[in-house]
Amino acid sequence: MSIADNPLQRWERDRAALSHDVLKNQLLPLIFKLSNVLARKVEDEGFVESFAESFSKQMCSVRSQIEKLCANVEDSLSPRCFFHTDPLAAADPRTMSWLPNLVHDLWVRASGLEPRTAAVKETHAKFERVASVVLLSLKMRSGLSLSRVHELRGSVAALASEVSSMREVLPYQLPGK
Amino acid sequence: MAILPKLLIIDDLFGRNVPDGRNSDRENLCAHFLWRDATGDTAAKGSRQEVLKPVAEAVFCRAQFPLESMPGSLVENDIHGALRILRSGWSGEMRGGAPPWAMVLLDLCFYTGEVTDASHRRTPGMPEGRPEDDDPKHYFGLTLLDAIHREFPELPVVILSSKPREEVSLEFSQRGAVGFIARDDLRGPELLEEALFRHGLLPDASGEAIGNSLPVLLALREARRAARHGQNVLIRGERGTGKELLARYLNRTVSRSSRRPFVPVNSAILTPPMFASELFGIERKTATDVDAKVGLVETADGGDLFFDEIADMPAEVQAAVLRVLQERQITRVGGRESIPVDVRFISATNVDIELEERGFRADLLDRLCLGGSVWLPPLRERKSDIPLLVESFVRDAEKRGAGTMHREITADALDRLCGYDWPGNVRELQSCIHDAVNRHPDVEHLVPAHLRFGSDKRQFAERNISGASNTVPPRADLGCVLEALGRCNFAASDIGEWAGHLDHLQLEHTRLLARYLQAALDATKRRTPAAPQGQIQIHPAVKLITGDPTLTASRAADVVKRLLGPLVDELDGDLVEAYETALRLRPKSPRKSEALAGARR
Repeated sequence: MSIADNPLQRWERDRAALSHDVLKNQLLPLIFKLSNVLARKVEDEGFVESFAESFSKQMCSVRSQIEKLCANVEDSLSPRCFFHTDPLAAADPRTMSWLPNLVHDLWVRASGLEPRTAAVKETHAKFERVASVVLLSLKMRSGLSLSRVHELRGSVAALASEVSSMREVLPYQLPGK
Repeated sequence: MAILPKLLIIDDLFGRNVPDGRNSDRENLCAHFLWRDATGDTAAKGSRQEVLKPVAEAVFCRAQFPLESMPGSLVENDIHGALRILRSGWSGEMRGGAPPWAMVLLDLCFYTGEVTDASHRRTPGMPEGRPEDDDPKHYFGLTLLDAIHREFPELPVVILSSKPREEVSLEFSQRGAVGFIARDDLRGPELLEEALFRHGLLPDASGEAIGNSLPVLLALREARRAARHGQNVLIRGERGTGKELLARYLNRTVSRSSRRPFVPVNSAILTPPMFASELFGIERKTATDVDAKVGLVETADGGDLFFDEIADMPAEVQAAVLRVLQERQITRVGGRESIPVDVRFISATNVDIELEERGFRADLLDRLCLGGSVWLPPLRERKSDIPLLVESFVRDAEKRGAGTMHREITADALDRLCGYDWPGNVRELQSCIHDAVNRHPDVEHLVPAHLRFGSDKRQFAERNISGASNTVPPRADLGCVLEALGRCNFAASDIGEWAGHLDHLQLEHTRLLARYLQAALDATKRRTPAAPQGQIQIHPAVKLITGDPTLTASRAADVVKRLLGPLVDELDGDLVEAYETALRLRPKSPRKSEALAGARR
């Protein structure tokens, strides 16, 4: 079964891509750079102005990836998939009418998937709230004082921290594996 | 201007070159860590960002081919390409006088395979990746780490990755990485600064301790590590290697914000009648009109006291210093109150101070090197630094001499300087350069004719050893002999020259070995009150020249007989005695003895 056919491998690849490629390799460094540009350690003309646009795009992408991951996690990781292949696929039809669903339900309860998924959504919602504050603060930069710059840096650092927290909440060791 | 540390970052994402000239991922990373991108590719040149106060120069390497990829490209890992770049910044010849890599930062996971439209849209030039790329057991970064550590064991490598540390914590330690910085760690820049301080190969930013060669950078690293824990340190090295300079480096390194006192003392001047007042000071006595004097230890309070030539410290002074080390307080001469002191003692020596005949107290030595010893290399082991040192000394001499012209140093002069062995090390080099500048103030070029070396030493790298010379040849050392032997080339075209000389060749070879044995007999003589001149011992002598500790006395006698037998008519001195001893021990030839032993069996 190729990765395209295997829902579990697909989900894990998507989760790793979000965590590794998007959050850590793209979003966080962008935020770190903003912090140093605001602190006048780095000069890049037009960066702050373009940051809002590029960051908003990233937020949309992250939002859709989180939604997809949370929506697919149950079906992708369910041990029900083992009943599609031998030897379990050879079980008689009457057994197959109830056993896979029972196994699935037992697994859902034992793995703690629901509270885990809820925690991811809550962390993501917090990330979006903080990011909105940052974007709004950046829009009003014309009235910026030094303390406001520090406050901006603080909120950007808080945003980075939220992104890290989101990564930790996502299950790295797949539940029930 | 201070030289920035040079980092090599090996990473597929940040190392790739991009078609439109801007690698924004690399720019963001450089902005976060405050690096100047010195890669020199179109991505570096296309960047519009400027890091105002960079802490390092960063050179990025993808370790994959092609360096620049588009949809349809097939990206594969390239370990040889990565090693080529490493060598270019490491080998002395390839980097000129510039310092080598201070550190390598290495990613773990390198994505390979086809660059698809989808993957290119997500991140320009990046491939989709294969399942095994993401398998911790097969991370390409760990393969690279193995190769780097094998070829460049002194080069510090830190993992810089967004993969979880716990996946590879055992592997990266086993394969020689010195640390791990998570790419999403907010403290990343601080962690890197700490890693550079502790493990990096960094020249002295102040420019006082001059040198970019590996031996010097390793010594500076050891000094920084010793400075970090604040304990007493012993600096070792031949005369003139810069031990006081290194002590000052240690002093500067501990506190970068405020200056700590640094008090240098030549241990030899602390003579028994005077040392107490010098070291501990004098209490003011109004009755006798004695002025107060603050001693050297108190002057160094909160900082460092540097004892140069510590092996020359008299025994009484050693006892007093030991008390200070133990009690961490002093009493001034004529005083009653103890004064607590917080002083780090940095000592220096150019001798084997541990030897009993030196008479240096072992308990004091233990305390003086609680923080360890740092070895300074002799100049002959760091000749690649000579051009830098010469440049500095020439400019210094020019500044000191009013009206002295600015001069360039010719390549011939540098060759001559690099060909000398410098037994007096950096101090001798400095003296030679100052002498050349002072004697020739009105020239624009420093040439070999301006240089004067030690009076009886003409140890240049290339020598002519000629048997036809009528003068007494200089004393040949083992290096010269081996070099001359190595240059002999018996080509078929020269048969007319060397045919018929085999006996002569064998005889000269035997004479050479006899002189080798003579030296070994002299070195292993047993000296007793009854025999102060020493008695030869053929067994230890032959073990010394063969390097075989299992050699028996009878085998040693056989060696001596075989070696000296052909020269029996021209032996004298110790060699005669050695031959006679060997004959007494083994009266018959080895083959005859073995045949007899066989017959008896």
